[in-house]
Amino acid sequence: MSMQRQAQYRGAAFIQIVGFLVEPIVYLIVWRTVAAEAGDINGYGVDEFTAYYIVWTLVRVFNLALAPGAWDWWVSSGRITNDLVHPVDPYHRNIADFAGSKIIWILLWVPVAVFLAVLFRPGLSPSLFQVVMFFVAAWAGYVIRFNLLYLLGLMSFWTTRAQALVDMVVAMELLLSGRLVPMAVMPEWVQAISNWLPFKWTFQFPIEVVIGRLTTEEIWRGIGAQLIWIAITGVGYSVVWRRAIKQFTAVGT
Amino acid sequence: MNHFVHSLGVTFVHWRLAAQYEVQYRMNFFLQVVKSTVNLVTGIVAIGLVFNYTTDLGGWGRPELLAVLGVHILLGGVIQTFIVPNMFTFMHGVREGELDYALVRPVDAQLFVSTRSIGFWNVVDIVVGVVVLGWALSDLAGRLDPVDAVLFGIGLVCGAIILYCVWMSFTTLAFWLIDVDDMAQLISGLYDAGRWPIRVYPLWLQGVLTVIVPLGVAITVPAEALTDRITPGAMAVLVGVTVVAVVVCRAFWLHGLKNYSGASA
Repeated sequence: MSMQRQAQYRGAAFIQIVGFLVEPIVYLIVWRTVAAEAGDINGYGVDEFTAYYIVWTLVRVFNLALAPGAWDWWVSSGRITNDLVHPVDPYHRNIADFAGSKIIWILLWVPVAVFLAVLFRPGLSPSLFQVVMFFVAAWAGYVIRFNLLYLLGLMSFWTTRAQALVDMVVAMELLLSGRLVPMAVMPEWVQAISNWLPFKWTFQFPIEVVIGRLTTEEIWRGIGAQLIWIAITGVGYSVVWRRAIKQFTAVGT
Repeated sequence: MNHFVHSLGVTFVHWRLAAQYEVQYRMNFFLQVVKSTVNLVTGIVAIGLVFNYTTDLGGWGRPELLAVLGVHILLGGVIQTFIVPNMFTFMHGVREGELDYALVRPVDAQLFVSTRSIGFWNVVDIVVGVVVLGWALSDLAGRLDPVDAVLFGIGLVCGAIILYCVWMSFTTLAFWLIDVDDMAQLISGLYDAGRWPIRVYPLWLQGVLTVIVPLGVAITVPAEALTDRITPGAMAVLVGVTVVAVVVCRAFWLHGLKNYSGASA
């Protein structure tokens, strides 16, 4: 259903894609310029940066999940009660809804990738194994990020001003996930921190799988880290969700 | 003349009422401070990372990039305070039919829909932008000569006018396309490209950000004036783009208004 709905709005999708491409193209140009002057930065040269930011666009598509801000309105307007009277936890509907839209988005991404590849000529030649593991890692990354944002969204049951917290988490994510720059560019202490947080495993890890920066062993270890984060965020979600609906009294009851 | 004074009066009344309304919500001030801080920190971190590995980015040093960041934040604050809230009100007005009430008033409709609301707490970004510019200037350690200061002032005004015209032109599309929330995201995305000097970009992208959506030139040229890199050519381009933007924006608005048949008609 969600796939069909997305397929209707082709014009809107085009505008969204142009808006969303500006960010990676800007990073790409800035870091290619730096690499051209400074040479390799911990293994990242001009070609690696180019490949990194082009795969970045696909991972970003995988990453899109329910914005925590949506909860604010659902809860404060009382609309959430519509979901609560269903016998199924709305979590399932939401996560599947986004997964469905994603499939259309990924199809739309293909011409974008061709365009970027012609424009910037990345050095990218992944093996079949790397491609398969990329998709596994990208979907797992989506689940982790979905859970994290969902948990943040549930804060709306307690406060109407969760936005400040969301802003801070989004900034941490920008810096520590590999969205702004690959962690190799960051100082070592930042890299160490990022290994112990979920963000990197939702973003940089899938990219590095497919651009060939990781050994087979590192890939398996990364998948392991993703599974652990899925477990942690999943348990966290079910605990918080149960407390949230227990203390919620809807408008009109 | 009388007409102009009247318009100015209407604008100030609008701004005063909207500001008084917003000031009631102090919590929004706190949220805005968090948001601005986060924005500032990520901007500075990005610049810091670049200069860990190189001493200049396409000929721009650290203080010069700080100046660009400062102009980016400052103009962003201006546009978020005075323009963006109005653009959203306008878009919703077209969809909900409330625009008709605005059109029957005895003032110029474009002026009216452009000044109705104010995002008061976004003034935080204006303050942050000024502080970053001061920081950049002190890092440059040179005196700002009076000619450059004047050019900088003119540049900022032109930049703000261009930003308004870009927003207004895109939102005018609301007459034809109903859902233009995506447009807002497109403009914000393009605006963020202005965080770096457009001179660093390949020519095709510089062209896009100068001619098609002139957000880049609106930010880079004032920063060039401040950092003593300004050329007469760049200044001429900025002024030229400003004039064209105003003409195009006004013509497009009048064209849209003529085609608009109202919600109740």
